[in-house]
Parts: sequence; structure tokens; C-alpha cells
Amino acid sequence: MTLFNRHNRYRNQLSAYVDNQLSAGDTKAVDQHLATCDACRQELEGLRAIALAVRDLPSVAAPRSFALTPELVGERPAPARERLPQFAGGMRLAGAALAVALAVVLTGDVTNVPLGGDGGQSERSATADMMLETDNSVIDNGSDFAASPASQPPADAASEDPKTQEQLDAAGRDSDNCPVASGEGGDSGVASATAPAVTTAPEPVGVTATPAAGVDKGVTAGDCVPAAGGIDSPAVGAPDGQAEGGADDKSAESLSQADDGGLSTVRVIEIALAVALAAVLISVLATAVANRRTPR
Amino acid sequence: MVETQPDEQDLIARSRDGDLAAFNRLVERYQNPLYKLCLRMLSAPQAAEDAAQDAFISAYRSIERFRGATFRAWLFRIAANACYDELRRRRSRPAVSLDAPVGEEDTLAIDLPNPGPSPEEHAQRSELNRALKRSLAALPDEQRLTIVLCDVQGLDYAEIAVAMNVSLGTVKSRVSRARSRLRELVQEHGELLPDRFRHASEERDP
Repeated sequence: MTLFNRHNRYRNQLSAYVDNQLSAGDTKAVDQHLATCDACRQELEGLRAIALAVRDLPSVAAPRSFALTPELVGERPAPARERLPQFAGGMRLAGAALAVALAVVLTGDVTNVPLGGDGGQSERSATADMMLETDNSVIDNGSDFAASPASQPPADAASEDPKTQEQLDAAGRDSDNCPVASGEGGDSGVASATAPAVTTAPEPVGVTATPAAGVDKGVTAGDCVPAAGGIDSPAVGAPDGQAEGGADDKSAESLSQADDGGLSTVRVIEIALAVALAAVLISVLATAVANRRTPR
Repeated sequence: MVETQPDEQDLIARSRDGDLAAFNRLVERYQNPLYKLCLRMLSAPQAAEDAAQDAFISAYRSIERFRGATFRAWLFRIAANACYDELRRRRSRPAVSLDAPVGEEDTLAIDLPNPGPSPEEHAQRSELNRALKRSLAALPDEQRLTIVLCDVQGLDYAEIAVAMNVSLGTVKSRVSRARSRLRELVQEHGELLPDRFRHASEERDP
């Protein structure tokens, strides 16, 4: 029994023995066993013969060169970079969502001013505070704004539709000119701006932490001012168009009143949104630059 | 274990930096053995060609992940994976095979006869090779890869361990099992084989 076990153990080592892959001690032990075991000697010869036969198969050459061309490999995506576009894509989506939110607030602002009294404005200033705290709520509130002005004044909405679209486009273009706002993100944001900020809203949850930090840095504030200004101007211009468009004197008066008191509150919201947007854009830029510099 | 040579290290380093010309020198160096591995694994020239090309492409794309001491084994692992992919595809749609039938892939290749062998010996050798190829093709994939790495490519066990991503002990038992199984298959297939494949010891012992 013990003898049979030992025989099996040696038998299993014969291939490694053929390949010279046994330790000196094991080789010696197998040698000793072979001297006394016909079956193992026979097995050894068979294994050796088959190994040699395979080794002696006619050699094959590659039928052609497998040299790589730039077309074959394309742009080599570094493994680290492979995952980053998704992250950057998320950030861009967040930027687009913020841009949409900003556009929506602007639109809501412009369309609401003639109708909404003080109540509407204080409501908005409350939401402005919330926006400054969490970016999530920025987007949620933004989408609320999208819903309310569109449904509340149907008549106005109908007459103003082209104007609204222009503003949205302007906002979209502004965000495109802003540091990054990648083409895809910006485009999709603008395209869907009229209705569905809701769909983009859930996406950027993971991103929201960074912009807050960015805002604190003050570097971003400087960058944002032109953006906010750029977006502001069409908003200011819009009421004129509205007045011309057949709104009565009363609404024109309320507009001028709003110019003094109300617009400043709304502007706070707009600037806050613009700051958040710029912060997201800058963090997108920063990650992109960092990725490029990551040593491979 | 065969260490990667210094000039190879240099080529690898340059390939990491995206130097395609440097990588192509590695391709040049390894395309014959790598194609051979694919051919023995797949037994079909066109599929082997595709697998070899795929292997080089993915090697280039992931060369920054190469940290090992032996580039050859790492490269073979990638080639083996490309072959496994093809075998899996083949199994998922077994009817579609326009390639040459198994084992016939290089019957047209004329072995340059060694100065010595007589016509009979040569015929015997061809018969043996056919039987070997058929038997190789009949082995389970993993055992076939083991034989290809060990006996076709001549890797040592440490390199095989890298190429198959297993331990040395596992390599040892895999080689042992694969070789025994191959021997059985050759014996089944090759009734006209030289005696030494069937009565190895009798030939030696008077």
C-alpha cells in the first residue's frame, strides 16, 4: 500500500522530471525509484517521446506581419483614462443640468415678473437660500420653476415662446463659452431645456460636493461674473420685448417696480446658480487637466 | 524563469509611452511564436491570424499593466485569452466554420527534410504529426494550452505559471495530466505510429 502510494507520487512527477523542473532532491528520489520500477520507466519513455514529438512539430511562421498601425490601435485609451470619461461625462451632465436650471430660473423670473406679486418673489428668495446650501435642491427647484411658469400663465407663455427659446439658447451658448461646458453636454441640455430638467436632475448627485468647495475659493467668482452678466443681459432685455408684445400698462409698471426691488433678489439666485455652474465647469476642467497629467 | 532582456525592457518602456515603432519591434520578435500558439490552440489559420492580431492590439493597449519579469509569458497569456474568446465564440455558434478542418491546417506546408531521414521515416513522421495535431485538438482547452506552452513553446514552469495565472504546483500537475492524456489520444489515433509510442520500454530493453 505504502509502496503503491509512493509509486503514484513518483509517477506524477515524471513529467516534471522530463522537463527538468524538479528540485535536486526530488530528481534524485525519482532516479532511485526509476531504477526499481519498470512501469515508471516505461511511462517516462512514453512521456518523453510525446514531449519530443510535440516539440518537433513543424514550425510555423506568421503568415503576415502583425505590426500595428495607428489605425489598428486608434487612440490608445490608457486604462486610467478609460474610466474617466464617464466621470467627466457625469460632471458635464451636472454642468448642463445647472445651465438648464439657470436658464429655467431666468425664464421663470422673466415670465413671472408681470404676474407674480411679492409672494412669488419671497418664495423664490427662500429657494435661493436653499440653493446656496445644496446643489441638489438647486436642480430640483430649477425644475419646479420650469413647471410653474409654463403652467400658470398659459396665455403669456404662448405669446412669449419664441422669446423664451431665444433666452434659453443664449444661456446655452453662454455656458458653452464658459470654461468647459463640453459640446455634448451643453447641446443636450439646451435641447431639452424647455421641459425636462427633471430628467437630468437625478444624475449629478455624486458631483455636488465639489462645486461648493470651488465657490469658496474665490477664484471661481471672478470667472463667473462675466458669465452671470452675459446671462443677465438678455433677461433684462426681455421685459422690453414683453411690454411691446402687448402687455398692458399695469404689467409695464410692475416691471419697472421689479427693476428696482425684485430683480435684485432674483439676481441673487441667478448669480448663485451661475457661480455653482462655473464651479462645476472649473472642476470638470481641473479633473480633465489632472487626468492628462497623471503619470502612466 | 527567462528574464526580460535589457533591450526588451527599453522597447517595453518606450511602448508604454505610446511609441508604436518600439512596440512593433516587439511584435516582430514574437509574432512567429505567438501565431504558432494561436494556430495550435485554434487549429484554423484564419482564426489564428485574427487572434494573434487581437492579442497584439490588446497587449499594446495594456502594456502599462505589464510589471512581470517575463514579457513573453505575459504576451502569451494575452494570446491565450484571445484564443479562449475565439473558442467561446465558436461554441456559441458551432455551425459557422469556414476554416480548414481541424488538423489539416498545414498539410500543404512542406517540411524541409533533414538530410538524414529515409522516405519511410519521413512518411512516418508526417503520420505522427497528423495524429499529434488531431490529438492536440481533441484535448480540453486548458490541457491543450498547457501542452502548447510547455512543449510547443518550450516555456519553463515558472513562465507557464505566469502565462496561465496559476501556481507552480498547479502547473506541475497540469503538465503531468495533459501529457498523459495527450499520449493516450495519440495512441488511440495513431495505429501506424513508430513503436516507441506504444511500446516505449520494450524498444529500449533487449
